[in-house]
Amino acid sequence: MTALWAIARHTLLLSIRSMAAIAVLVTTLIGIVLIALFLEGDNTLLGLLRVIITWSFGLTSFVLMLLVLYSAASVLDSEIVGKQITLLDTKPVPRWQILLGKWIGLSTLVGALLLASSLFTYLALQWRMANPPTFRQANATRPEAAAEESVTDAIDRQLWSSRRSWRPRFYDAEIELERFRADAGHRGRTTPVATDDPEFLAHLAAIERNPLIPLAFGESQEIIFSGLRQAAPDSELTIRYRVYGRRGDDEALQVQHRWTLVDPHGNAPTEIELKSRSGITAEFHASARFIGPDSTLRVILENRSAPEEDEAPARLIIPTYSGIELLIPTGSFEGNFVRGTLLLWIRLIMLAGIGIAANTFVRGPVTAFLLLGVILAGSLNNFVYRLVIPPMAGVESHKAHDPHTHEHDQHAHDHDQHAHDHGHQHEHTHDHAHDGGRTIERGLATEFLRSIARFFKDAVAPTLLRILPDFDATQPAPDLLVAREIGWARIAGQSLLDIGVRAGLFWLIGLFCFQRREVGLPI
Amino acid sequence: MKDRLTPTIRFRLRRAALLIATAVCLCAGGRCLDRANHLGDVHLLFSRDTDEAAPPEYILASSLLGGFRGIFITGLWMHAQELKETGRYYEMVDVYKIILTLQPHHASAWRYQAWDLTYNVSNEFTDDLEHRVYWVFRGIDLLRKEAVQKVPRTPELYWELAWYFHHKLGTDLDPAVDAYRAHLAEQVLREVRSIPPNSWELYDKIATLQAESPTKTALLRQHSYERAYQRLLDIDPDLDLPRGALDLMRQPPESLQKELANEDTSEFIRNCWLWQIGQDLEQKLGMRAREMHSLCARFGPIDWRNPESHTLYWATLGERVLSQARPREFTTRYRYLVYRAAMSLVTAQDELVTGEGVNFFTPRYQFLEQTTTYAKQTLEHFEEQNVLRRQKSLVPVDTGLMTDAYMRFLTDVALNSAIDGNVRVTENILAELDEFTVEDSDLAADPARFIDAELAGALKKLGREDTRLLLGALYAQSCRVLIQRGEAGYRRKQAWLEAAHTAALRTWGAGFVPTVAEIRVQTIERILVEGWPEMIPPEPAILAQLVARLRLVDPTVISQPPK
Repeated sequence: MTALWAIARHTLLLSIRSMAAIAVLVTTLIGIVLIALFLEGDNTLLGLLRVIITWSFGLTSFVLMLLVLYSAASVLDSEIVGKQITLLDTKPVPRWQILLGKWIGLSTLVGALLLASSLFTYLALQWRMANPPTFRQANATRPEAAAEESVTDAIDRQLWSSRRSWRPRFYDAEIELERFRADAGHRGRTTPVATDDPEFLAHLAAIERNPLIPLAFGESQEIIFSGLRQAAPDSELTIRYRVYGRRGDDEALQVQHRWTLVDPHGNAPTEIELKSRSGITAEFHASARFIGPDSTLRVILENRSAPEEDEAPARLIIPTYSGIELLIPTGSFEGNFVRGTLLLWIRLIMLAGIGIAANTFVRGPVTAFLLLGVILAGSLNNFVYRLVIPPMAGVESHKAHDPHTHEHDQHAHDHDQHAHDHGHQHEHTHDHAHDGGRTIERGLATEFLRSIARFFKDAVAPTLLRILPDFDATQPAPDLLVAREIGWARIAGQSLLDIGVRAGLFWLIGLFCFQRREVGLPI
Repeated sequence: MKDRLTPTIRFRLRRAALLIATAVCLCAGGRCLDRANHLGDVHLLFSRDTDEAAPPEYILASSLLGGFRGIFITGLWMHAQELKETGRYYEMVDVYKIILTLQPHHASAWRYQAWDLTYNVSNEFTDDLEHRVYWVFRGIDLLRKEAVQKVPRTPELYWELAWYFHHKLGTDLDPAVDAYRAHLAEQVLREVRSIPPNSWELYDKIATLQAESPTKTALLRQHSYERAYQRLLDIDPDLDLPRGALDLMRQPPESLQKELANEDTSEFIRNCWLWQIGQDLEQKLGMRAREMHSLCARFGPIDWRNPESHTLYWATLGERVLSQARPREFTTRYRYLVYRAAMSLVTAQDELVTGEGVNFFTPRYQFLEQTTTYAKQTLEHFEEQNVLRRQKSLVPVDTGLMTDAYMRFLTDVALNSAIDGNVRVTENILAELDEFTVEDSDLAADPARFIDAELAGALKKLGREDTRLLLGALYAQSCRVLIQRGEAGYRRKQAWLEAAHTAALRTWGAGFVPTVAEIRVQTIERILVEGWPEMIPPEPAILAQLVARLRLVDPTVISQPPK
């Protein structure tokens, strides 16, 4: 194993000597200084700090990815072209150690640079907090002290901490069971329904798959967060949520709603009246005393968007997958910041692994192009995914559904409905233009092609896109901006996926090629 | 020593020295850039014939990306849009800044972004007045402090700015308009300091001082005042001039009092103060003293706290820039705004509550002659333009509507001045109105009859029941003004109530119209007991405030203690 570390050390030193690493470090540091000095934000310190985090991490990841692209494309190739690899090949060093050593060396280099950049970002944040720019006071009569207190409070709450995120479920299993039993009775079922009844489980699964829950004016939805064992009794809970509103066929700009926090100790519930912009994330805070002895928090969301002058009442639509989360303080910003840096490091390690592995069977410039493709794919993955499958596909077509009958997959329903409507129109046109037999034939052909397109869109495209690297998953800024905890489990999972699966598989292919390659000869 | 260095070390040292020299040159160049830009501006070195008048740093940034600039900018626009849709305005603003750095000549980019900030982003903050005001003025500042300075030959930018002042701040369409007006008034008070509207000739002095001394050093080292400045510095080496000139004039420290008695010195300090006002006007409001002076000379003593005065300023500038840059284009849009703003300045009746107390925009009848002249010229101008427009198959300006607006304006001024007791103005206006009336009438001969006829006509249209309602609503409005703006506003509204009441008595007879005292008591009862949420929010704190103020202002109305 000494050889492995020697190769890693050698790679590290070689990269440092090439000055590219120094150039990258200097560029990043200057960039971060400029970001901290010249960005303006939205006239609040919280906004400014958020921009500094986003842009510093963006700059760091961009510059380091370029370094990886350059280094990974040349680290093995230059040795093969320069024939130094021949010397190494004569030593009793297994080839997997050469590949792995170079990967470790390059990863260590980018890790060190990333650490320096992150440290600088952190110092920039601290400096900005200690020396905030003079913000424009729109309201001169507002007391300065009160303003400062609210600023510090907002930063502590929304940025300078680490809060674990919990996803809700939108049903109570016991109530659903009762409801299901009653329905089953109406349907004429005579056998008793148990909790593990397959039909009942399928019913629950259908509820969980439902991506959107619509609420008409005056209706409410119970939302349950369970398994909240980590909440300290004196900690403050934050519910971040994003809901959509529709008034008639148009988007409702403002959605008025009421949150009711159910007190588990039998006291009167607490009600919070809020207004939020449709589709924009908002949050409110509550005491941890609302978490019951069964580690469950129950809240009720009620649609209070009343009719306006000549407009219908607004429907409130909850996106169940990403609309609502509960945040509970669990740690410090610094810890989260370090974990965020690790997350970014995983991406760079993956890129280094893919680049070095590609170097075993293609030349440096081709490797660079390949990595560029990986970087583009990783950066655009989520964007393309959202183009193929819009996250809120159902909201646009959510006109006047009856919420009680809305128990199946809304997305699939809308999609089918859409396809059906179009198909119907199409057939209708053909009825006038052609004879019946040809219409049926063309109708079947169209349906067949449509089903292939649907299959590609629903099954193939998402799978393909999921296999490709996804840089949004290793981007720490979105979580750091709202003080959402980046958990160790997430880091471990992401490492497994990016390093173990994506880069690992590529690395194994590279090793396979490298083992069989005569490295003394040029390609 | 030289022999002891190996060639490699010598090479590295040379390389390091060159790198350091490059860095020093870059830094020095950067430091000189502002000065170079300023000199370029003064000596007209930038190409003014085209729209490419951006300073070097903009040119550099936009050229660096070469052929990828367009792709990069498109990506930034998409990113900015996404940030807006997700409510991340804090980041969107900086993305906007980069876009503008990369495409500074694109007037539409400036216009779109300013509009987005002023109209869309501000609208997101329905419950946060402070942020709402901030975003409105952020959009306005983008245009007046940056866009028109960097792309000065684009008239559309001036029009846009004039429109914001007219539409966003000048009309009552936005529920937060009072806050915008108060913010503008505060800004103007801060920058224009103690120059009252009637001392508008000082703007000429300011402009002359700025032309003579474009920089602070030039001002302080002016030959005629060099000795005075030196003497002041000898006494107080930390003296901050010209920024501290006003404080020095108001409360001179004991050590300088003797020196300030010297005529030369006091004149020098005063000039410093005026020069600093000019600088602040340019830097913080984007306005030039020379233009302000010429507008005051043309229309009258303009109160710059009023948003319509800014409409007037920017629309006038825009009209001129358009005439110079594209002489064949029609100036209709610009003239229309000048026309509306000038008329609004005459009829202004608003009171504003700012951090410094209540400010009034009283009607300015001094503007009347110039405004009516301008309005008539504009109507003639539009007629002439319409001939050309028809020749070019363009849609003509609706001069009928413009004339109606002018007649409404004259009628409003006549009514206002009559209720204010300004008989001379009323007579003049009615004489003016006579010219425009088709029927053969002599309104000026009997102003009282005209006023009565106007009010009576309006009340007849309303009907008897609605007249009673109107009188109640007028008093409820007085109460709202009392809460929001204090006693002066209340008194002014009372004058309106009384005038309307007199007209109602004549129209419908005493048997049907209650007395003013009865109207007051009935309205107060309705507000306090039943509630009149359209007029006054039925919140206990607000109602208690109303009762307390009424006890001071008009104790006869409140006889019982508040429930």
